[in-house]
Amino acid sequence: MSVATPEGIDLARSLDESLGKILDTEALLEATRDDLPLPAESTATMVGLGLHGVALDEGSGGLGLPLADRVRLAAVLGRHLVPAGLRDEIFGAVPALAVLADQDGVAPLLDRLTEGELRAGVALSSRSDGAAYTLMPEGGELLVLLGPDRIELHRLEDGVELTALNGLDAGQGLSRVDATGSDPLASLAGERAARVRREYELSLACEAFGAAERTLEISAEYADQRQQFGRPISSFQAVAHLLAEMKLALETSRAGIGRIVDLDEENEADEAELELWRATLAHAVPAAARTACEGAIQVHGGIGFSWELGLHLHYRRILAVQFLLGGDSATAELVGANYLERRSR
Amino acid sequence: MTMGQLPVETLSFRPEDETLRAEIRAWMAANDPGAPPEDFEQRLAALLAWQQKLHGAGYIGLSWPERYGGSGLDLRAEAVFSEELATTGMPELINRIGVYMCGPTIMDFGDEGQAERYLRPMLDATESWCQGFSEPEAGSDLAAIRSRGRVDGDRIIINGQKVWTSRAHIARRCACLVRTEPGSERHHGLSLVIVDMEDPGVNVVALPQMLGERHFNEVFLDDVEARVEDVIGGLGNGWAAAMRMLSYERGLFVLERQIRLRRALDELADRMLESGRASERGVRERLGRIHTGLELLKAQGYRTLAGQAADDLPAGSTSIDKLHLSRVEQDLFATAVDLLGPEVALTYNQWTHDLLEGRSVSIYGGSTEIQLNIISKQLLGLGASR
Repeated sequence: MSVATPEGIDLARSLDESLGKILDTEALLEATRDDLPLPAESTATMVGLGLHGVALDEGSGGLGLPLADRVRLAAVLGRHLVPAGLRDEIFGAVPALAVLADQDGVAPLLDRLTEGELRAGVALSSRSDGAAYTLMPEGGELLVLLGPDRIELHRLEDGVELTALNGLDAGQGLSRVDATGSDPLASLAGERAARVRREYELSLACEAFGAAERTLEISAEYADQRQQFGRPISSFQAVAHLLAEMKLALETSRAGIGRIVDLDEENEADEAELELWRATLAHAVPAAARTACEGAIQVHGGIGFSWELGLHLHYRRILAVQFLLGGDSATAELVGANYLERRSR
Repeated sequence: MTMGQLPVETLSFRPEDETLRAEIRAWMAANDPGAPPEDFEQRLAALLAWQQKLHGAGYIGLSWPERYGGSGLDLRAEAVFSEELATTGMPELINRIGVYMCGPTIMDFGDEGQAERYLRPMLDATESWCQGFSEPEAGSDLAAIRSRGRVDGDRIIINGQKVWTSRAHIARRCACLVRTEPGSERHHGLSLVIVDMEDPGVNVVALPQMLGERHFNEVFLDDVEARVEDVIGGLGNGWAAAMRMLSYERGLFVLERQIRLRRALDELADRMLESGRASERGVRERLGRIHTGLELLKAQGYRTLAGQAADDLPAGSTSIDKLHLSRVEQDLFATAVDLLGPEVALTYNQWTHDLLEGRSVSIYGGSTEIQLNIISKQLLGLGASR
């Protein structure tokens, strides 16, 4: 039973409201145009919302929210296109530091990170070639490198090389990571490390879902208002079916997210099954989000392609998520390889 | 504008459901008769015997109330049964339409007299059912029903024609949608009437499918006599009853279908493993896509069942199940035939059979285009789309 907690629901609602006030389209467009972070005061307000404890156990000083709440919160972040670096701290860096917290010097860093006094970036190293990219927040001092089943925590000043790139999802501090010259401050290999990565990947997928769902809402409303040939464009079947296809893509993804939350809570599913499920969602959800967002742009016609409407902001974010996770083909191949491997056992 | 529900609930199984699953699984393993014979008469007999055997074991109508001959369990038990049934060599239940669609509709909309008369014989398949909905001029536009039912005292005299009527040739009863209010239009004035297929006015003509198989029929109704007391939900309430019946067509059916498709994918995967092609990137990627589609289908099916169990299923939501099923099924067999190559693609075999049969999925039970209409209207609430 994937029941979200009352605390989680309240938090998601108040977060939705707060973020709606902080992140307006104009500010996001400006940051994207200039490839710069949002104004410092907006960032400070968001960091101060106390979200860093969302994915952290109560024992470690967090909120101890179940997965049911976390997927919803990740989707709320996606709706509002919250800076990727903040998302990475909440769903990547904090849980990673929590599993490293018994190693020398990590616990104080975790405290400072959750208090918003210290910033950290997260990088997923590619399963195929090890390439890694991070969205480093301004003033970031730490890098969490998530391998397939290994976590490394690096101090940037210890020899991590970051090459700034011209990000498509601009203003997020996209950089290529080379940590080969740095000795990690702490590291962990094995199942717990793998789980941190998989849950982080799931939060990215949920973020893309949230961003895409927003574009569908905007599009359905627009289609009922926009008049052409003397009637709302939603009355044309070609347009209505395009919107229905977007809905179809998102609803099957919604079911998939619901399923993994239930499996996670049932404790019946074996870890291998859950792993295959997470890989499946990491493939399916961003793909569905992309379908929906591309549909949204199409439904709007010329204005959908414009700078000012800002649907490109959602599109940039969804594409970024899809390719941080490996891209459409690579994630499909990973699912297939995983499935074939199970089948051959 | 507020965001949609996340996460949604999907069907969760309790320990007692898993106990039932283990029991049914063992029973199926010991009693699976394998694929039924090809010959029509023999096949019919085998399918009938199979449902009777399942009924004897207590597995038909698990979610039906005990007073109607069921086991009084819930939809979870029914889901477990559907999933385990799909692991056998036998196709769907011969009286699937009775047990899963007409029966529950009678329980919801009918009266005790109808329940008394019709429910029990559905379970052991002594009376098989069919659904008399589509007509030559009322396919996608179901509300254009022309078949007429003239009410005469306690009788209804029915004239008209039904088409694409699955299993009419083996059915004893038909839940038939007819216009009983003269001059009524569209959704109004319709009634869902139980017709005895042995009435002399009923004439069933086979309509073979593209594979030459006979699953559906034309049904001609000439002065067929039915009874007013056999109207499900009362005169003039046919549309609501018919829509309820259609909503029962999804949930469990998708669950069972999904398992059968999973078996086909597993077999394809095994062929790729045996031939050494499983290490090819393209093969992995394509199997990964089908696996993904099937897992989402299962998740959506569980979501629908959780909604049905809680009696909280949004109108139109099962169009998602139907559309996604048709996409996955067609993709699966197209991919299979493509990966297995010309030797398989050029010959008649299970794979090519299923490829051809897959074309029906996007047509039966409401075409893809109709499902998209339903989604845009009922789920998205778009104003004037037609």
